[in-house]
Amino acid sequence: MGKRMNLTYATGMVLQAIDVGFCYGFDVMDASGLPDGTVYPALRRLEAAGLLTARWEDDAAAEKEKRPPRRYYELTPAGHEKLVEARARFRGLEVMIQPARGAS
Amino acid sequence: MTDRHWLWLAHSLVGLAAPLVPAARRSDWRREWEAELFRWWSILSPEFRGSWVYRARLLRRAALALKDAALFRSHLRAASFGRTQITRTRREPMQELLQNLRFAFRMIRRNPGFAAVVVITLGLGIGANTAVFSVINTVLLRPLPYDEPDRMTLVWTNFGPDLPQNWISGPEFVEMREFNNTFEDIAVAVPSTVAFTGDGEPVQVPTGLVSGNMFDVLRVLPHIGRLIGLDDDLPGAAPVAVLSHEFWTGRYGGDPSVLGSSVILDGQAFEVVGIIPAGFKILHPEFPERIDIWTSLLPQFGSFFGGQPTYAQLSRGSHGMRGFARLKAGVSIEQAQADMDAVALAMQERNPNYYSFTGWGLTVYSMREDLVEEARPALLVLFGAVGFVLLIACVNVANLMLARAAVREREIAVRIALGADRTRIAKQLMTESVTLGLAGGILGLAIAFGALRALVVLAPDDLPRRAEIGVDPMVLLFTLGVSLVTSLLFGLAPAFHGMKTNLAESFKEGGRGATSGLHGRNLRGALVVAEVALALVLLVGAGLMIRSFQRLLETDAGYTVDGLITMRVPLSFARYQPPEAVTFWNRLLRETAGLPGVQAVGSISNLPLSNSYSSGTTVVEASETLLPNQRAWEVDRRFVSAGYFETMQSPLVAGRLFTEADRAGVSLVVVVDEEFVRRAWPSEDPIGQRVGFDQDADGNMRWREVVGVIRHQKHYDLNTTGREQAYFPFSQGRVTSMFLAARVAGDPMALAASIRRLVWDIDPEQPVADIATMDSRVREAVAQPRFNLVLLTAFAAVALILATVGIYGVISYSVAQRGHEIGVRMALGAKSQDVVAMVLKQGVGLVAVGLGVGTAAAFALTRVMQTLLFEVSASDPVTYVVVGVILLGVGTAASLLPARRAARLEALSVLTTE
Repeated sequence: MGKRMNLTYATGMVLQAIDVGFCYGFDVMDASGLPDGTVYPALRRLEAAGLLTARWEDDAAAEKEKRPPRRYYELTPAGHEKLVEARARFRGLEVMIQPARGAS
Repeated sequence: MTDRHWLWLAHSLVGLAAPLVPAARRSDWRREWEAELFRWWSILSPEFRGSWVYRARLLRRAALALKDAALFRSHLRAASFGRTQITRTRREPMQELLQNLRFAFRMIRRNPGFAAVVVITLGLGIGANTAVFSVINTVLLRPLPYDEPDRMTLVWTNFGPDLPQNWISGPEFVEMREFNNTFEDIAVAVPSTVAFTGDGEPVQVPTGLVSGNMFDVLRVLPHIGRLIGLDDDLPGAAPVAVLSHEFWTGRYGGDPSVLGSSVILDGQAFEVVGIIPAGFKILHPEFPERIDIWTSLLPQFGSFFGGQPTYAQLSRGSHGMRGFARLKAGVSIEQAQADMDAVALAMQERNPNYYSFTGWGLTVYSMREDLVEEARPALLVLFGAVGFVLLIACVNVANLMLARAAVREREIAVRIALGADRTRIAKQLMTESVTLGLAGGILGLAIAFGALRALVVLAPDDLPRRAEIGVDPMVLLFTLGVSLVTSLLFGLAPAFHGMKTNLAESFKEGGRGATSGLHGRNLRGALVVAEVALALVLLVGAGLMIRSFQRLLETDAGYTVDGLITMRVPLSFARYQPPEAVTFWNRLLRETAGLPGVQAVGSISNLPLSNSYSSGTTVVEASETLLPNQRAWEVDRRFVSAGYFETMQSPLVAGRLFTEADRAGVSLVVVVDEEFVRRAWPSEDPIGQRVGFDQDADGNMRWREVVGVIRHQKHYDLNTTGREQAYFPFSQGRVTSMFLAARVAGDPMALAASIRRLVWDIDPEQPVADIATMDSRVREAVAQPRFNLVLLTAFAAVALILATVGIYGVISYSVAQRGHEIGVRMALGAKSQDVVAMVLKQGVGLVAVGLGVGTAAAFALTRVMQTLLFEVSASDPVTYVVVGVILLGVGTAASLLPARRAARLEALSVLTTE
């Protein structure tokens, strides 16, 4: 399925945002500036297609800030491939979303 | 609502969507959304979290979870992830809902004017209901802020039908504690004020005098230091004070070193031993919610009676303490009452002479019930009224929906012809209604926030827990529920009709389908009838309140209100012995009389409408009508100066008023009110009779001779008659703290500063408190009825407007539908006035039926208002007639417009367009 997946601009934005370190749903939303309603569907689709994996944040980190742990997204190798393709197709993707300062 | 509430609300939305997510992934899914929302909200600065823009954004983000959840489901359903397949063969409920929703939004977007009218109408109705419910929720429903609040009760003495809820005296308190078996403990407290001398001018601060076990009974722990304890009740205990958290932070900046320092209260030094936790208050009908300083009751109260060292030694006839009791675990109020009945009997056996009257007893009330007892009827009536407003709004919206359903009839017929099943159509229509209803709910919530502020400002000061009123999760739940129920109410009729669409009729050119046919007309007629009936009930309610309020303002209070300045000069026993107080008051009265503009001046121990009360068992020596065991009862006692009655312009009924000659040391005299005479000497000349309430050193009653009879003075408020009153010259009693009243030419308030200066000339440490014109006291006394009046009138006005719009809408619509018929009639020779008459007949006919139904309903429903009314019967004919005429007039006017439009129709043009 992953190979046949439509590579839309929104998909590219989401992949780019995660790649540069915006790895939480709302952060992707805020960093990409995409309409609210499109980010989560894209994340779900990408995750289902195997381009993303999600993990739970370290409990200790969350504990320290007295908040619940968050679920963060990473690109899989397939996701990286897709991102390269997206960058080629949508020029300016890298300029649109740049690494967050201090983002890991 | 705090920002935690908003987050809670957002999380609730996520929780609402969670069931859509497959169970295996649900908890992960939920955790992710909650964590994201939490983080996003918590990194916002408090300023943003307080803004409506960001609150809306938070909810919008939470709403995304719903979409995400739905998506999840459809993804998992599809054989492969990636493409959302909408399968029409096996209709998924969720998909159908989403599709219906999408369709609903499309319909709204296509006709925004219609949607706006519906949402605004509902928003107003739901908003008003939410606001009133918030008040009810806080005042009537929220548990009291004490540990195990359901076990808290109030205990009162019962002195027969005249005085069923009386205070407690010292010996009664001791015996109650000793004899009962059902209470963990009983405590007493008295609200008071005290002169606090800090830096600057002396001020009068609200205080609570408590028995040593009071805080144990309420189960309060100190914020710091200690609270008043049992040791403080012992003879010779050093005077100690506990400060409220608010007073401590306000005056001392929350400095803990205040512990151990001393404060000067009424000229006496008290050691500050502790601070009570923030927000602590005694929720009792007679206690102010704000109390700054707590001291031990016994030394204060005892000094009033010459420094009695124990409760048992206080006078049995001096009732002033309020009883607070905590039930033992598992004991019901009824069991406690039965126990207290036995206690009362034991007390009677021990003191047969004192409790010789019939009806003696002790009464136990739930603390919460007692607190809200007075506010409840009015709040429930208002809640009912505001519910009616919502019903009327629903009827209007239902009408609109029906009218639109008629327009959409052909669209629906087409869909049915193309194979949509009728249940599906009904569901579709219901989805639209619920969407509109929820939108109305959201708008209503916003309106409620605004309305609540106004409500709280308008609410009378004595509404319990007024400061706590606000929106909490309970209120949000209520709003959600009301929105859904409302949607059902106004959505059912159109949905029902959608199901019955008659295909053949709808497709006919110019045909009249289900909603415009006879049946639809009947339904709309019924809606008008309902609307008029509902409006009538509200208008009658408002009308009765207006009539009652008029009566209240016109009632004879027993004194003239205008041009009076009043203030309290609370000389304390600690600093003034009664003889010195007499000197002080004589000088103050004399000097005040000399001020320019002062026409008369007097003083009284408890001024009417000042929330200051004093009463005691009073005995009459002889009576033709009262049996010997009926000659002692609780009477409102007042100590006054010569000139007081003249100042208040209280009419003298018989005998004479007090003069300067009625001093200490000469023959003791009393002036009683008409009610007193009616009870004691209905058939005799009251002048020369004798009254007593205290004994001399040898234990003989000190009889006082009645020299005059005065008009009864409304003391508690304007609608309560209250007890019989007896007035004594203040120089013949033991009273120091009094109110000064001066009648002034011109603005009374302008004189306040001069009088206060006179007080400080005599004693620079003496506070002057509670300065107010008599006029403003009256305004405060009628705050509760005015609150009811304003709200009911506002609701009735909204109802009238909505009903007018409703009638107009229905008649206009029907004229439009009957255009063809009217055209035919005119072509056949009907004159335009015939057409007007025909349409009017229809409109007025409906209104008349509505009036009939409404009158019957109002007759039944306004009974519940009787307790709120003053000297007006709930079936007051004047109100009914006036309201009927108003509604009939409005109904006629609302039908006249469409009628005249119908009359102007050109027969030819109508017939040719069809």
